[in-house]
Amino acid sequence: MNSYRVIVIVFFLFSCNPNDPQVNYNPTPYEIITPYAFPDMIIPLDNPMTYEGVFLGKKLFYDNILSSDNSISCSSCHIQNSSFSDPNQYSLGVNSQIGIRHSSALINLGYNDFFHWDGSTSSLEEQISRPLFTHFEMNNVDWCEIINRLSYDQEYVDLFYEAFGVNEIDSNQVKKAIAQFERTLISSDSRYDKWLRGEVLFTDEELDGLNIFFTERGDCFHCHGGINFMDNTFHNNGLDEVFSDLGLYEVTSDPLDQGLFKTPTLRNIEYTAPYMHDGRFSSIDEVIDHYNSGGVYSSTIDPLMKYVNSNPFGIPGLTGLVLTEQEKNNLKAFLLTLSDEVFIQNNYFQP
Amino acid sequence: MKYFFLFFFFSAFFFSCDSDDDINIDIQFRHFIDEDILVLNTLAYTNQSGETYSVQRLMYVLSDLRCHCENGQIVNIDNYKFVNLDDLNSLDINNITLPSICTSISFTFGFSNSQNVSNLYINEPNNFHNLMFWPDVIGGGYHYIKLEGKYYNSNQEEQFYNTHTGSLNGVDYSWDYTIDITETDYNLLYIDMDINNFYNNPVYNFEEFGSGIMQNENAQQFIFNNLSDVFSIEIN
Repeated sequence: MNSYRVIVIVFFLFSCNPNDPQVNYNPTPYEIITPYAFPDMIIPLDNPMTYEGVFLGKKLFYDNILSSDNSISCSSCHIQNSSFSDPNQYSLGVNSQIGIRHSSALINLGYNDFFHWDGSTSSLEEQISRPLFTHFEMNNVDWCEIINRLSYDQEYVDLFYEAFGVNEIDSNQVKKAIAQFERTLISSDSRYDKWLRGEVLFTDEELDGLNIFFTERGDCFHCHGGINFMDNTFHNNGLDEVFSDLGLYEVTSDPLDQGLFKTPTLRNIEYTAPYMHDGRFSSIDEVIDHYNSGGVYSSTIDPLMKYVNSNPFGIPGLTGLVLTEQEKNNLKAFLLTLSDEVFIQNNYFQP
Repeated sequence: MKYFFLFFFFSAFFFSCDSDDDINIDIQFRHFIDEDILVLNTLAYTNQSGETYSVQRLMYVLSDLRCHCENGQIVNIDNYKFVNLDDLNSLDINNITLPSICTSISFTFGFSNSQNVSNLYINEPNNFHNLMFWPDVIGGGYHYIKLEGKYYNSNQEEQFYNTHTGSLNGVDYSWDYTIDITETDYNLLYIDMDINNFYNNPVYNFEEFGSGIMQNENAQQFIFNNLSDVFSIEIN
C-alpha cells in the first residue's frame, strides 16, 4: 500500500509544472508524396516536415504580424490566384514602397536550388529573411522585433511549442515553419501532367507546341526543361543591351554574371503575368515575340540565345527563330497546358 | 580449443588486412584546345576549318569509368561522371583505392543506349538531370555534351554555336574509350579533352552546320566520327 502512495506522490511532483504549456509536444510527420515524373524532394534533416510546422508556416505566411507596421503579409505579394505571384509589375511593401523586381511565383519551391531572381540564397529557410528585412518589402530592422511581436501572442507561443517543442520562439523556427508550408505548394495536376500520366490527349495544336518547345525549333527546353520547367540556374535571355538591374552579378561580383537571372518555372504561366524579372511583358504573346525576335545582344547574353544575330534558315538580315503565326499560337497552346487550376483553388493553401 | 580460437583470431588479423598494398590515385579532368589549356570566353581559338571561336559553356558526361589493374581486377570508379566547368568540384575524382597499379582506363563518352533512359538520373545531385536531359521528342535520355560559345562566320560576324550531342532518335553516338597507361609509378592521372578534335577529321564547320545541331543527324554523325582522339591520358 505504501508503494502506491509513493507512486502517486512522485506522479504529482513531476507532472504538475504550472509553467509548462498545456499541450504536449507530439508533432505528426507530414509526408510529401512525390508526384509522377517528379524527383524526390530533399527535406533538410534539421527541418523535418510536420503537420504542426506546416500549419504554423501557413498562419505566418498569411499574417501581417511579420511586417514592421502589421500592414502586409507574405500573401500580399504572393497571391494564390496568381499562383502565389503578384499580378502587379512591382509589389507594394510597407508604407506603399514599390519593389524593384516582379514577385516570383511560389510553385514547387522544394525542387529549387536557388531562390530570388538573383539567386541570393540557396535554402528555402534562408530566403525568408530577405523580404522580412528589405525596406521596400516588410521593412523589419532585426529579428528581435519580429520575435517580440510573435511572443506577445499566446496563440503563436502555443503553435511554436506544438511545432517545435520550444517555449521561446526564435528566428530559426519562424524560417523553418514558413519553409515547411512553402514545400507543400506543389503544382502537379496541370493538363500537361495529366497528359504525361496518360489521362488526357493533347490537341494537334498542343502537340505541335510541345514539339516546338522541346526541340531546337523553339529551344525553350534548354532553360525551361525538366518537370518543373526551369533548369535551376541563371541566364541572360537577351532582354537588354545595357543592364539597369545586374541580377546575379549583385551576388557574385563576377562581370560575366551581369544581367543573368534565375530561370523561372513556366508552370502556371497563365496565372503569373507580368513576365520577366522586371515584369516588362504583360502577356504570353509578348514573351513568345521576344524569343522569336532572337533578343538583344549584350556581352553576357547566353549562347543558347543563338539566333540573336542569325536565324535557323540562314536567311540574310533576319534574326530570331522565325516562327510562323501558327507556330507561335501552337507554342502558346502548349504553354497553357501547364495551368493547374486545382493548385490555385486549393483550399488547403488558404488561411 | 582455446588455442584454436587464438590461432584463428591472429590468422584473420594478419592475413585479411592487405590494405598496405592498395594504391590511392586521383583523377583530374583537363580541357585543351590543341596544346593550350582552355580559357573560357576567349574568342581566339581556331578550328581546322579556320573558324575563330570561343568556349563559354562546357559540360559533358563520361560513363562506366573503370580502372583495369595490373593484377587483373577491374575497379569501377563511377557509373557516370558529370563534368561541368561551371562547377570546379566536378573536375576531379579523389582517393580512388586500387588493389594494384592501373594499366588502362576505360570509359564511355556519353551513355550507351542501355543506360541512356529518360528520367533515369532524375534524383542525381549537381542538377544533372535538369542540365543534361535530352527531350523525349527527339529520342530521350541525356545530352552527352553541351559545348557552346561564339565564332566568327565568313563575314566576320559574331555568331553562336551549340555543339550538343546525344542519342538522336535512338541512334547511339556514344564512344567507348580504352586507354593504356604505360607508367607504373603515379598517384595523379589526367583525363584530357582536346576540344578541337571534336571538329577535326573530318573537318566540321560551325557555319555549315548552323548554330543548333540536336536534330541534325549529319552533324551528330560528324561529331561522332571525330571522337576517337578527343580524350587522352596524362600521368603526373
